[in-house]
Amino acid sequence: MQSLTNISLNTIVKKQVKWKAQLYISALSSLVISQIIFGVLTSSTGSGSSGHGGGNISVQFSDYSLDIFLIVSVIWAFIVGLLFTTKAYRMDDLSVISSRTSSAIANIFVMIIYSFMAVIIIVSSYYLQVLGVSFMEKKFFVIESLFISPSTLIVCFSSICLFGAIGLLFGTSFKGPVVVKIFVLMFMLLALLFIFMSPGSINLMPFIMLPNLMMSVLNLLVASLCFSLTIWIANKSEVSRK
Amino acid sequence: MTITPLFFLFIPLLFLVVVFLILNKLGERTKNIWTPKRTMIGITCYIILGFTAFLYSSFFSESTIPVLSPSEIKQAEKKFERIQKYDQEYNSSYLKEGNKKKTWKINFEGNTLPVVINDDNYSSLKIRQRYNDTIEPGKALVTYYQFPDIVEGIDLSDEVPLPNVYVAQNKLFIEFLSEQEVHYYRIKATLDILDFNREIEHKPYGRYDSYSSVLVIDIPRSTELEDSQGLVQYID
Repeated sequence: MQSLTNISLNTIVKKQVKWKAQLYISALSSLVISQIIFGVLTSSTGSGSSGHGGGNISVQFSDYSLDIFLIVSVIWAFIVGLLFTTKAYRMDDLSVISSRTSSAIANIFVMIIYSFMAVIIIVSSYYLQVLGVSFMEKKFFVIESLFISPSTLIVCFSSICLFGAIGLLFGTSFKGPVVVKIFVLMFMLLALLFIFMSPGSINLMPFIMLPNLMMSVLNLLVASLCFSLTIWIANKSEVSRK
Repeated sequence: MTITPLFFLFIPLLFLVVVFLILNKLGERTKNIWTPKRTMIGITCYIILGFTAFLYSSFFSESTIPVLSPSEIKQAEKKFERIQKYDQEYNSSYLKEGNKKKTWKINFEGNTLPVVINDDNYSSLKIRQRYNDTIEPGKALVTYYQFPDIVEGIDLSDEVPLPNVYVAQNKLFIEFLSEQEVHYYRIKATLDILDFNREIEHKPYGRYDSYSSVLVIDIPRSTELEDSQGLVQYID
């Protein structure tokens, strides 16, 4: 039975976001499990360590920071972004009324929602690890800062969003027109060549030295660019009506 | 770029990717058990657990080790500079009663006291000799003064092991114990990779231990301290 009802893109996207956010929830559970694994693996060493020698006493510090959880989350976001564009996930689009563009937009919104959830999961994982360490190492347990600042949380959110956006863009590019595929392949090849030929020329220090909010804005700007390109490519690869 | 850093960079990444892919496959197989609703309940429980851990840590987790703020470290640095200045001027007025940690009363024969120092660790302990008119001939006082030994905002002075001080064959032996290792588990609710690079230029991060401990040998004026190693310095 065919329907002649004209549904707006806005409504389709809203329905798809709701549908996909529930359907792809297993992606978040894989994040929780991997954070538990890495949290346990780094429970004795922390995210980083430093040492000072000299005299008749040497000091070792195991630092428990958000780093490891953020690294796990950004890689997770990239993989999830890629997976969202795979055939298995695209098959799910058939369950609801969709087009490639609406699906891409819905994926972007789901990615943003999941990035936000990922930040909450990072915070949970971190405090569970802190609790574990406080129970295990009571004598030499040092609290330098226990509360995560909002700016740090924003950096986490923007970084996860950025990597998710890159993953989505990559995945969509390989499903897009041939020109885009060739361009992406060329870009990757050149980027790899550049990295291996002159690794010293990649300097992230100016970016790292930026204040947290500035860094977040930059991350979100690049993420927006990736999201826009994703929509554009999805729109280009739409089955045209003749 | 050599192969080794690349290897160390890619192995954890590869491990992460493998973990995600395995979890993804497992997720597909356990789709019937882990329905979206159950998964959502599981994730919510995890978040609640994390929140409870946060509340518990905020109210009940206490650290007995205080961390000095950058301004306090700066103040300590200034204090060390003052101590160093006094010491270089052979002025013992910086050795206060409050910094005394241990005193050894020793007896010896004759008017000469040879000193043997065994310090394999090249310890930062300073050894000073001071004349004290209140001490009887044949007796000496060895006093250990402990000043703050600050590393990254943590005062290690309580962890510094005391040397062994004893008299044998009419010689004063000062022996340092083998290097002690202290391991701290530090909670920093930040992104360390960012803070580390940013703080290198702003935060005083080094170790201020050059005058963290001083050992003073008080002897009567009639006694001569024989220091063949040249490690003992006179102080007034």
